[in-house]
Amino acid sequence: MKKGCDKISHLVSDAFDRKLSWLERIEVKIHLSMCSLCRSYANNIGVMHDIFSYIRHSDESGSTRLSQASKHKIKQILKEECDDKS
Amino acid sequence: MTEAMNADAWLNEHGDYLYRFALSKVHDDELAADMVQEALLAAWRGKSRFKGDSTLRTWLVSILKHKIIDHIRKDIRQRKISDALENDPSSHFFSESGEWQTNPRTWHDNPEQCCDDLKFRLVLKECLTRLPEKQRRVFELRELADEDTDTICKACDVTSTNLHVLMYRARLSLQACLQKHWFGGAST
Ligand SMILES: [Zn+2]
Repeated sequence: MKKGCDKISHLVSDAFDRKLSWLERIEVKIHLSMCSLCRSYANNIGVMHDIFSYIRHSDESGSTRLSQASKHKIKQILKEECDDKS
Repeated sequence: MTEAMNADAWLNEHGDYLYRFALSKVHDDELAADMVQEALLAAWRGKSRFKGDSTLRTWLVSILKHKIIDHIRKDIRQRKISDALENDPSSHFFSESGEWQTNPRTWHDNPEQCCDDLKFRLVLKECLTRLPEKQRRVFELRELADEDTDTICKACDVTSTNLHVLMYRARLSLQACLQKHWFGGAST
């Protein structure tokens, strides 16, 4: 059975989150070879995926710091915890 | 006394990194700082469990991750955020016979440049905000927090099939929103 663009675009999305079955991969491949709209969509959600992974890394390696007030508060709480124990 | 100094050293050496990590997942300064506090406290209480087979930072991050997931799970339960499965956008994107109604156009932009472009980041944020909440939570945990699907299913109380449906809908909507407001736009 030939699948429509709605089904294929779902599979293209799933491929980012689970391993497609052999049959599903073939279906996607054949459909993409014939359908330029689904090819565009597949390209675009790939671009989106890459953008998010860049964002993830730039957020984690940035220079944002804990505010002094938060640091102070955390210090206080850790200190209380240590004092309780002794 | 030496113990107290150790806890301080954890905060001084890893606090900022943990904070950035939390912030990139929860997008809320105050909440991120609270998460760091809870994680450090839990780490301190459980410090005998730190075996030294990973680095201290890796260990602290794994505790922080648990705290974040835990927070999201509680938040979703408490506010009874529904499955949002009734929010099905596919009729908007596809005809009844399953053909595209809003045609995707191929984006040729460089992902790294997009990430560095503050104007793009604003548009992206706006597009994410428009998603139904559960879709957005699941999508952000997957794409921004890079969590595995099992963890997300547990945190958000969804089956893996639901997760795939929510991710699909989020991608469809985001793709259309970004195309309209950034990549392609004005000509539509
Ligand atoms: Zn198609």
